Amino acid sequence: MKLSKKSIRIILIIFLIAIAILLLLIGILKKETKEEKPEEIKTVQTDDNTVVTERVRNRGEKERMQVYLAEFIKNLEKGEYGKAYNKLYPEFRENFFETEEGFKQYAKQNYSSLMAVEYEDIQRQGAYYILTVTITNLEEPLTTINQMFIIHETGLNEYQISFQVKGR
Amino acid sequence: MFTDLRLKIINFLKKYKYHIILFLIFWGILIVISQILTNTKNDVPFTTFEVYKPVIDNGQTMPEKWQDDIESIIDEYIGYCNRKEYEKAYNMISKPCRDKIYPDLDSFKAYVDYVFSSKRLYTIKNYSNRDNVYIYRLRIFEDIMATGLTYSSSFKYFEEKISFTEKDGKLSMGVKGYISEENQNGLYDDKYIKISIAKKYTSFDNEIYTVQFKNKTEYDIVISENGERGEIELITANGTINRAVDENWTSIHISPGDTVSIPISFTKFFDEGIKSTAIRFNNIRVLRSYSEDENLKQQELENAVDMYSAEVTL
Repeated sequence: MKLSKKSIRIILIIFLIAIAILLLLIGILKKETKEEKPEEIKTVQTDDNTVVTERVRNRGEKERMQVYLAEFIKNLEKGEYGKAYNKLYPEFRENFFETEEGFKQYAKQNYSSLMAVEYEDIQRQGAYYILTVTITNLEEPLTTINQMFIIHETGLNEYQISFQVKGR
Repeated sequence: MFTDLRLKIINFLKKYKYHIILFLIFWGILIVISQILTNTKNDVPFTTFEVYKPVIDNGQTMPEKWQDDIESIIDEYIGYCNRKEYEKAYNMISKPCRDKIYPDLDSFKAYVDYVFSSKRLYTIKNYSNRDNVYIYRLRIFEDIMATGLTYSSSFKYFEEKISFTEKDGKLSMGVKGYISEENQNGLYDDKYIKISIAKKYTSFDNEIYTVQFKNKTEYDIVISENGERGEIELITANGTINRAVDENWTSIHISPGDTVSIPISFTKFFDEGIKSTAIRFNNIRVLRSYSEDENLKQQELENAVDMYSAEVTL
């Protein structure tokens, strides 16, 4: 059967498109299953925020909440009260810690520079996560606080925290 | 030979230059798309919370077109309740539901004042869908972000079922588990008693029938006594039998010549989609004499005019 010129053209176009798609797919697959080659170690400065963001990307909810709380606790341990204060839900701040200084005083009284966090329960209520934990201050005198933290996640590594304020 | 081949290639390129250009453009677009796809990182946190995935999956789904609308309606309703705009919130509830659950604004105000004693947050989840009725689970709780649960020892919430019934392209909202109320024509009539079923109220987990008993005799008729289980049953299309829940009465006794109307409730879940077919009264007692004295009961039964069961088709 002799094919017309038009038919040959159409066949050619389809063939070229098919090759293009095949090569594209191969390219995508290769990129996703990149072999680990020893690379030259490059020193790249990234801030803590980027590190945490990459850490929680593609993680489950429970793990993300634990990371967020761990970061908050780390801020308290390191005396980074400003960072911790900025993570608090605005209305919560208004209700309990109108100033950063007030929050700092509270944090110094209740948390030490070395703490252990034991998770009792993590429950989700819609967009809110309620973590029930026991925090032990590992510096003398050893004290333990049972506390609930509430985390509202608005994006990857974007969240606000509230917690049970002791002594109220 | 090579000259010949070279000529052939040149001729080929000349002949199909437009196809080749087209191909290269197409190739370029594909490369750009692949770059975008492989470099786009996932910035949306993964969550297992899916508002629109029903808790009870009976194969019926809620149309996507209603998802945003329902969310907006609930948000508006809760907003009004939080701001104590009673009338606005009240008017969002369908009239049949209002008439049944909150017959007047004052009763609704009492509910709002109790539940919304302070600013409340809420969560919703599609619970089940059946026959153009979409049921949501609504949880209302304190503003835990503002309080940090400081004044509570544990997390607590109010929960109720909210229904959205789709009819003629519109949604109507029912609260407190309300689904519908409709007239019924069930009737049983014999020489002793006439039993008619006038209304059926359907809620998420109950069917309540308004049953009227007319005693046509000079004798006392007892339908059920002292919350005896199994004397009144709801028969369903798949053969299951639900016993009456005696929350509104302990005994059903009709004096000679009297007519009484009683709501009889059965536990039955709307989203199971099982049709109720009849109500059966298993132990109708027509008694010559009746007292509430337990010591005389046996004697009264022995002297009964008749004892039988009757079924009212729904």
